[in-house]
Amino acid sequence: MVDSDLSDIFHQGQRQAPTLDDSLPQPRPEPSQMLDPRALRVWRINAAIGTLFIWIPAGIAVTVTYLADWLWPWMLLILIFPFLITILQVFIIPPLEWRRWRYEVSEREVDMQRGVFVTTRTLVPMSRVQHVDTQQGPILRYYGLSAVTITTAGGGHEIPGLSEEVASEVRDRIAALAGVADDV
Amino acid sequence: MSEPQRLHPAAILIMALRVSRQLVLPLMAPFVFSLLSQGLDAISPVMLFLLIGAVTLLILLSAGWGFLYWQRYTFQVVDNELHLRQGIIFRKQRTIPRERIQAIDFVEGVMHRIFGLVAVRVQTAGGNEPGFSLIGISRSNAEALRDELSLRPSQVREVEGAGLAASDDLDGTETATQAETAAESGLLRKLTPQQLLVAAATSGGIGIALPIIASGMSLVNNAMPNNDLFELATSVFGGVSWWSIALFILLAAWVLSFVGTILAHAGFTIRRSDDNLLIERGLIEKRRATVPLNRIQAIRVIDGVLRQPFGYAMIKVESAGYGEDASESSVIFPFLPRSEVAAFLNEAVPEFAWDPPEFSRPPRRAIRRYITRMTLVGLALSAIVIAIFYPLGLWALASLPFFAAFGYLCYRDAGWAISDGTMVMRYRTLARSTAIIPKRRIQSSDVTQNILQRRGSLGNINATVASGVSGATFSIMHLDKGVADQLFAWTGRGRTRLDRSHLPRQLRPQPQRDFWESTDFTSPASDSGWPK
Repeated sequence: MVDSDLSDIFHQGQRQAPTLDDSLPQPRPEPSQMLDPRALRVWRINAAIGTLFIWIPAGIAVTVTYLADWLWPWMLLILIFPFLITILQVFIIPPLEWRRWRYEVSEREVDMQRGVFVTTRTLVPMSRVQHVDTQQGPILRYYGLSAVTITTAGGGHEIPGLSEEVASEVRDRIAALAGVADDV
Repeated sequence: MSEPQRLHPAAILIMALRVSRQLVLPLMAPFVFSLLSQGLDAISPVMLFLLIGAVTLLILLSAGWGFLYWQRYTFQVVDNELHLRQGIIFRKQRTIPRERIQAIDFVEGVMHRIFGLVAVRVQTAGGNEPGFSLIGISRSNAEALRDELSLRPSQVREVEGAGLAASDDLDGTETATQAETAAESGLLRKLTPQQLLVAAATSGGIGIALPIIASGMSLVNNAMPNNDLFELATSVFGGVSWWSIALFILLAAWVLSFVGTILAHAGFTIRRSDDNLLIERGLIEKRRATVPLNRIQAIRVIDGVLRQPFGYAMIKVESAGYGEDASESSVIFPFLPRSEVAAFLNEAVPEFAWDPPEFSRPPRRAIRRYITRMTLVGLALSAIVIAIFYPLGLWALASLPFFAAFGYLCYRDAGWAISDGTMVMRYRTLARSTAIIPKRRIQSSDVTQNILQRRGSLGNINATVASGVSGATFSIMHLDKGVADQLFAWTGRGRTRLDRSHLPRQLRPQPQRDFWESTDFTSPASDSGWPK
């Protein structure tokens, strides 16, 4: 298999332009719809709550160092880690995630795109949808938001953070289209 | 089957044995424990009295439970639905519509053989309870039940329409004996004893047996302080060294997997009866499985590491709602010459019969990703080995070139092919798998790209089909991102609207025609989401 030169294997300096295969359909355009802007706030709150799992142990560790004896360089070192995580989780990642999140409900399928470090594009054919719900936790409810979950025999998918009206519209649309496409 | 039926009376015994198996440990443990700790001194009149009491209690409890279980358990088929009533303390009634039944297995244990019974295991789709089992009914009753439940009008029609040899003496209805004849004539393949031996010798079970044997050895070794195992190893290989012990463990694992395969796959027979695959296998415990063809979501052809050099493969199905021991039941043939795979699939599962002449492969710039990935796996494993056996373990690093070479092999085997509404994905984890996936069976598909792949414009494609309780996902890594996006787009276009899997290939619509046919939605399509 190693027939010609090996240079292209290790040559990855510049971005490679994607090549297309003529026997296949053209790539789908990006899904058109974005999430509700308020979803960003909810994600930040959730992330902030999540960081408590690092802040609480860190707090305990600092208390212990304080009680044991006042070694401030150690305390700084202990605190710098949760601080960085918080910046990343609350301030940097959610906006990137929100900007990436796209969805589109067409007659044949639901198309979703998400992910910061690993981008994932998911396609769920309407004919495979078993049921579709909207659900909201306390924080989503406070902001008047709702998440749409789509269940197939192969697993579940979620569109998080749509306004309540949009979410129920999306849910009803998918349910109607899935009913039409339901044949197997 | 108009009135409720009970299980065969021998089911009382079967249930009683099952209950006593669970009770015997807690009831007998105190006696065994005191014998072990005090030796023969522990035997005293009081203890004997207690022992007799415990045994009586065991017998009474299990017999009583078995009887009540049998008495309360009834089943009945009414209007294409299976009705169950069961439960001693918690009463339960279940109704299972025929459409919800995914597969029916006949399981024969030793007790069943004595009384000429079978346990009927019914697999259903979804829900928290994937299936249930009628623990003992006579074979003729079981076959009647199977026929009553699994013959759908469409299947009967298929038998008449397709003009199979077996359909000549059928008039749309089928009796148990006729179904049996059809099954006999529909014999597809039988594993010969020679093939069984080779299959057992090359089975991948050694990988599973190895840790079991190794941990078993260390357990036994701790229990027997005078190092009997070392002596055994010495007598077999002469001289105790790390090498001889490793070799001994390897040999023991191989023997275990050899015996395991023989027990599981002896007499493996696959038949096709109408729209079902009937599989029979097993040496001590005979197992029969019925897999309805229209429940099969994907086929996997697996070239095992030890079998690929000899040109043999194993065929597995991914079947919806085929819960419990999915990994075993889903083998439809364990050992088949690679050259016969296409012909076999054509006879057994025509919907999946496609052997692509060539595969499109990831671009050459993906080689680096594959090699790096496997080398990292090798490094992680080496780190564990080094941590356990410090100075000697450093030799593990010598395995890194092999991991790198294996990474290249993974690259070489990765590929895809598409035709006629079917996608074939080939990839290597340890063994090489070739998954045959009809587009209409895909539950969802993904393209993923991580930061490293973004630099090289590479991406993974995943396709998920229904399998067991959750799904099964197949993926090919490090394809050209543009091609991955195209494959992704392909999974979403022109899907078959009606189930035509039962038609011969020529009668199935071509993808293009199909695309137009399937646009008969109530509202006319005006969808900007699709590319042209």
